[in-house]
Amino acid sequence: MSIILFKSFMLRGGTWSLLLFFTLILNQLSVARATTTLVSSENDMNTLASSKKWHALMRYKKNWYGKLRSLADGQDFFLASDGKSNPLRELQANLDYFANKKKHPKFDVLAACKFPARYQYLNAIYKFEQKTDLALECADYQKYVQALSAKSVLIVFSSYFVEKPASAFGHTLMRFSKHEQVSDVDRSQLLDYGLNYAADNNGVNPIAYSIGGIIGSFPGNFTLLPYFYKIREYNDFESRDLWSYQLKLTQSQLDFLVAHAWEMGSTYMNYFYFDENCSYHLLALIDVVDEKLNLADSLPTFIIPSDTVKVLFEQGLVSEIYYRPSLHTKLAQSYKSLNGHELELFHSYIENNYTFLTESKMSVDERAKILDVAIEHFDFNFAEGVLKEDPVITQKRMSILSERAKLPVRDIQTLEVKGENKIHKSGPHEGHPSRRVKLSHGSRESEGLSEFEYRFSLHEVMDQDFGHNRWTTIEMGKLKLQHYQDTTKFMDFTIGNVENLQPITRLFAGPSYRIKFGFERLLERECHDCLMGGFQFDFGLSYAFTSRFLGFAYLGSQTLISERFTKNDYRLSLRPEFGFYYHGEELMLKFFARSANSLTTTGESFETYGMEARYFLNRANAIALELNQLDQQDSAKIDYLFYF
Amino acid sequence: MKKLLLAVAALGALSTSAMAAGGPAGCGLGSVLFEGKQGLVFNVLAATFNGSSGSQTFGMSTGTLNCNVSDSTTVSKINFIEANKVALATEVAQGQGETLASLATVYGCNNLPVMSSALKVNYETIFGATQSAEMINTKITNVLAENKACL
Repeated sequence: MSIILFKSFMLRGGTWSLLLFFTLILNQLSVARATTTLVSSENDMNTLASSKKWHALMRYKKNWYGKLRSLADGQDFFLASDGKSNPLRELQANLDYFANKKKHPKFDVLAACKFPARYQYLNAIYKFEQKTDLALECADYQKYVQALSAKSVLIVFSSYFVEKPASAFGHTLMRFSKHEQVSDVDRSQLLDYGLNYAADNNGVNPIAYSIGGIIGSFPGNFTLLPYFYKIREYNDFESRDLWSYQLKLTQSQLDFLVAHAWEMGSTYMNYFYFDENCSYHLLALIDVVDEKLNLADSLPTFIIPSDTVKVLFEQGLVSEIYYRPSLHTKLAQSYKSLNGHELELFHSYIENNYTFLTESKMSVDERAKILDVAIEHFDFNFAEGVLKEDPVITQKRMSILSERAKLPVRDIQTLEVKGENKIHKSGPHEGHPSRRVKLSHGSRESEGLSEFEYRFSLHEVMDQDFGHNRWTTIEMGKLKLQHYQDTTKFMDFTIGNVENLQPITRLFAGPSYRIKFGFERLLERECHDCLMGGFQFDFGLSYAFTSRFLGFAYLGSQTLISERFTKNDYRLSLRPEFGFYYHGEELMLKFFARSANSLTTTGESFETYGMEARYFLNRANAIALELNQLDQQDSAKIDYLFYF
Repeated sequence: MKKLLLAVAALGALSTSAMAAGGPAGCGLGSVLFEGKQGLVFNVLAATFNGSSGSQTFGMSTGTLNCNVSDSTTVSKINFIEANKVALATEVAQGQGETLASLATVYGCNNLPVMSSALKVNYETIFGATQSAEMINTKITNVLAENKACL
């Protein structure tokens, strides 16, 4: 594979010098050139039409059966009627429109104003006699360029909802800054622009949306909006940390990117959740600026947003990283800054419906400090009501702030005041790779067994937590095969597994939960060796004894569906469980005990005890020992885990 | 295809506005966020499928960013206030912060400390009763003029 790539790269290198040569000759011949027919050999045109740059600009890509097609689905994106599948005809049409200063067939603007990057690129090669001055002749485009005034570009990764780990896949968007040196000093980042690619999912119910997202039935659009919308949405309302990765681009590359983004903004692409998603299309935008780049297609077929930032790193494109704490992070920070006396005052304040008790004695500064933490607490806990301007909540908020406004300005250097800052906690670019293979060997009931497990994504509590939330799991697509007693059987196919252990603290007192659904082979006495569909929901509490040691207790339920159950076609059971996790840097430990009490079948109960110790040799490799007793059957396994 | 797209967009807009009934209208943050973003199942699916927002299409194709966010190089004052109202109220009360600093840029005000203290003193006037972004803008403008904060 890599040899083929290398060859094609060399070939392209060759064609490019050829092209340059032709360009030079064309320049010499420019006097003899007529306006309507461009002097250009068929050969020359073919070379350009099959060049990497032209393909990148037009998003030509081989589809799954090997046919070249543009990913853009809006017809207005093409100037030739068969432009979507014919790069040469599209190139000829573009040259015709640009050289003759024609208007776009659908819109009352010059084609060059609609496709400024293509124009600039082709003009550099062909030196059109009738030039289009993009600055003077394209008013709308110019407005956009002015609004952006881009001096640097960043890729923003919005991490996880602290409260909602299902968003752990994160989201990426592009951000244009008006400053070359993005710093927190000028505090102007709110006025940057964000370029977002998302599916237009308006008003569709989530189930339909998910299916549509997989089969590509929603149009995906690029939208441009002031970055403050994204900050308010992700940072404040959803409490997601934001990481910005500044890209090393020259000003001319950046200008070309801005021009190209404009072209892409005028079309749509069918949105495919797994491959042609926000990450893919952002990387494809960047690829256009430099032929040496190959970001979009260097990723595996299924792209996870955090992979985007990793590939930017691998290809040496990141110059700086900036971190913007979420409301949750800020609240946790400022809460930590309260001393013992202030802590008591703070808690009595919020417990007394955000009012000070009259007998509370404190200095003016203490009062201001407590109110500052309290307003963050209020915003975090009533995020929805604050956003929707619920009258009662708005009124309450106002009264807290009125009191605050009467107190002096504090001399603080909190994250809030500093705004964005250089990264100070592990970011998504440091996370372990999301795909994992696990090979196990061991025994059950004194007979040897071997297992193979593949996980598509993303993270579990027992994995290293760099760039992830320590106590959360989000896994999709996990498959397990087992070889036991001379037969190989399919043991488990997990579609989704989400766990959010939220340690109870005085400040955050949320429940912990786990949801898992998929297919599994039951090994309990009842219906031993039956393959069945299952849904599990656990709800409980957890407590962190230290930041790395946590205990949990669930009151869980499990529904298993199989026609092989003796009574009914399903078994509904209550499954209380408790256990402990130790999460070190390299060493992870887990102990648990669980009892499944059938409510619908024979009424028996089945106990499971287990422990696992996992040791990480590095980011990509780990070994583990698992000991289990499942309904009185003992098993022991040694695992090797590989993350890639 | 374009027609189909328009129809889809219209349908989408219709259902979004139905869902958003009662929420803030216009270009406020609430209208930008995906309304009805509630419940665990929804969050699992919506967040997983990158559908967190997109209820307002800022049409780049026409060059006019929706809500008139930009006819020039600066963001309009009212839109800025509308979207940043929550953070702005907090920072006005505290007398400092980045939203306040950005507000100064939007108002073309180069004396941030004077502006901050003028607004702080007048917190209740500006944010007192439930206020629309337009009213807040008017009051901020008045306060800044009375205090000669941006000279």
